[in-house]
Amino acid sequence: MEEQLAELAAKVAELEASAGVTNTIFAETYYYLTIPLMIIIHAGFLAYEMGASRLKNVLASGVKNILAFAFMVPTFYFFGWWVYWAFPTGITLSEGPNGISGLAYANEIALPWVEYMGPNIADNASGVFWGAFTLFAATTASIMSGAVIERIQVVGFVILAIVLGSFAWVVAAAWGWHADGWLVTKFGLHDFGAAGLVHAVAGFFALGVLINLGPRIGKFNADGTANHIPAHNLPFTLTGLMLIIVGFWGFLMACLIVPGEVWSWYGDKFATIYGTPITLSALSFNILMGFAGGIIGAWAITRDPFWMMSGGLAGIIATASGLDIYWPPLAFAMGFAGGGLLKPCSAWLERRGIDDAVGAVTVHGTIGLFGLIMLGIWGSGYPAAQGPDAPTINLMGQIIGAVVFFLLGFVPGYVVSYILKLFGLLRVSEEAEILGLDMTKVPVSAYPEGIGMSGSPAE
Amino acid sequence: MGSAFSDWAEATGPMYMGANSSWEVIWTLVAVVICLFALYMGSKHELDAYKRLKK
Repeated sequence: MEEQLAELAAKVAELEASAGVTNTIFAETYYYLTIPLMIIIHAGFLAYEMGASRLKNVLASGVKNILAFAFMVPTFYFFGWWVYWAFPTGITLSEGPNGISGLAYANEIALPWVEYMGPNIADNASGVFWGAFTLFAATTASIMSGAVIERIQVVGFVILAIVLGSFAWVVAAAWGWHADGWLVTKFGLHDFGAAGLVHAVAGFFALGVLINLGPRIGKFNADGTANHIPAHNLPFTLTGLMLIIVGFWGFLMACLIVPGEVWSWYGDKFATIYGTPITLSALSFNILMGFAGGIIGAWAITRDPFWMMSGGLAGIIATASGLDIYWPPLAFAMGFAGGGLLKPCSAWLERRGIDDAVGAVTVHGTIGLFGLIMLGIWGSGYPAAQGPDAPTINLMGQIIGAVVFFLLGFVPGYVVSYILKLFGLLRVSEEAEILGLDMTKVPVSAYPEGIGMSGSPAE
Repeated sequence: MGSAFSDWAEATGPMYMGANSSWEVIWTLVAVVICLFALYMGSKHELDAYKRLKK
């Protein structure tokens, strides 16, 4: 009898170990796959920006976008990841209530030379988490990238991208997208899909840069009225926008914490980054409803395919903060409002002399804050985080978060671009802008045979 | 709008918005009205475009 019991116990232990390994490999694979999905966002931004550029600047816009991505990877490794773990409680760098933040913790897990930041057979989590966050960072840089096309210097742009992607939004994430974040623990901020801390921060960072950068030559007339500078390839831009939407599934997938690991909140269900339960089914309902609402809202107002696809993106951003709790028709209505708001908000900005070439400030900045604040109404009363003492979601908390995210984007964007302007590193020369940036500095041609009618079809 | 629970440990099934106050029905009606409104306005815009062309 004893022998049989021992045999049974050994069998159970073996099964438990096997289940544990399966879970670890599932978790690692899950986050690993979010990385290529999020790279699709960058394929989208690349197509979007190049299509929106005039023929003379196509490749220069592409070079800039590709470099933003490339520089984000090492800089996020050098210090961006460390910032996320060091800053949640504020600038004191002290440890938070969950014990997963502060200077000592960040030094232990995120400095480039510690055991978790390279090959480690006993660590299946750090690399894939870091990779997913690096792609979030690169997304912020790409958001800014589109707004400033056709007149910004490459190195000046890369410096701005690093400040935004490896510092500014990371501080916002530490404060509002971390269980120890002070905006969460003190004010009940909830921003599940990063409408404020990714989109609004990046959008208003871009606004700060645009003020110092100035409009493209020919954008505004002497009386202040604006001219439309058409995209050289709108179908390419529209395809790019659709690719961004595809990539967003990976982005939002990476906002979840998988169950069953030592660092998981639950053994049996997905959680948000705040430790609150969520399902992929809830995400599927609400992402699709927000996306559809955004397209329809923009169509109802503009009838313009550029704004319709931007509206799809705005629809997701408008609902992002509450994708975990919204009832789907509300996500649809929020998306519709986000899509409908785009064109009037963009026109308002243009009347103030801001030349945002792709509407990034409006799509990401304005709609990001709109979605963040509206969750304070629709989601008020829900616990913002896990645990019996968690603060509840409330309008004031969301507004405070919105103000903080606006400042975390706008101030560094304005200050750093102002310094770059002083050193002559911000704007290209007038001659280069008029001739075209491709002919000035890109060693290859985008369309060496021109763009003409295709040959007659074979009979 | 309120929540049906004060601790996420109590959330074990569907999570209706507004503390189970039927807002999900209201939002469904709102979404249906939005779709009908958008289709009506879209149709008007399209027919106007054809009329302009005839003139």
